[in-house]
Amino acid sequence: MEKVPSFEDTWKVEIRRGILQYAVLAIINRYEKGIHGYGIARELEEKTDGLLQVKEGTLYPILHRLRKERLLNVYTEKSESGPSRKVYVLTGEGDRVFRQLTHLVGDIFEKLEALKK
Amino acid sequence: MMNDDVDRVISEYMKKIAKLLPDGFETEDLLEDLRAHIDESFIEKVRRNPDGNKKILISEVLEELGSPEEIADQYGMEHEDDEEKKSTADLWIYYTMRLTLAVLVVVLASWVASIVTEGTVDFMLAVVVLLFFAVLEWLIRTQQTKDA
Repeated sequence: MEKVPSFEDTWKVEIRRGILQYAVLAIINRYEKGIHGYGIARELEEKTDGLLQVKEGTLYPILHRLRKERLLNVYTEKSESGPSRKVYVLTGEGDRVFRQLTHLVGDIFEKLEALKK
Repeated sequence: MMNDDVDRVISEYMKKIAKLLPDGFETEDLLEDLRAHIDESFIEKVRRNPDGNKKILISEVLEELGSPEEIADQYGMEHEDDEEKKSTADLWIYYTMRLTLAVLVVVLASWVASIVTEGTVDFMLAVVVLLFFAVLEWLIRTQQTKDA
């Protein structure tokens, strides 16, 4: 019999999407010269201690989406292992959106903290 | 560095993902990214554990990457908004253009077939047959996309 997801599991899935998009923008923002997909996956795992439980392959549809929204630019470089790989950098619009989201995220957590008191 | 077994595992995995995603340039691009990621991750694992069993290492890589279904689900989630953004007018324009293009190709192909065979292949019959196959292909593709 299929296990019915708990309320917390469903909630995690719902909130994860937006957070992941923001986390990807935040990582790319830290690399002025850009970072490749594999590097983003490593950073995400290390910096969040696996909290977001991201399967690495699911990052690529997110990266494609952010590119489509013109928040990211891509160029290719030769990887150490041989074949070329894509390197992602924030566009001007991506930088603007990231700053705005950072402000918004700060506000949200501040207000949530206030609600708990 | 990769042996045949490892290559086979990777190619089966890639085929499963390709089957779950719609045909198109974007899917090709995504598959290319995933393949580059697999290569990089596998090489890194072999570097850290040179004596490790390569089949186990590649299964670890694919486990970390996620199942084809998980990747397809994320792809679907990222494209949900695209569907919503398309207005009815946009969809009408899109389908009209696709239909016009399909009919043009069918007529052109039938005309060429009729000319090349010096009339042995009847132009009208060719149009009907090609149109039938075009509709059939469209129906199958629609069904496959729904199943995915």
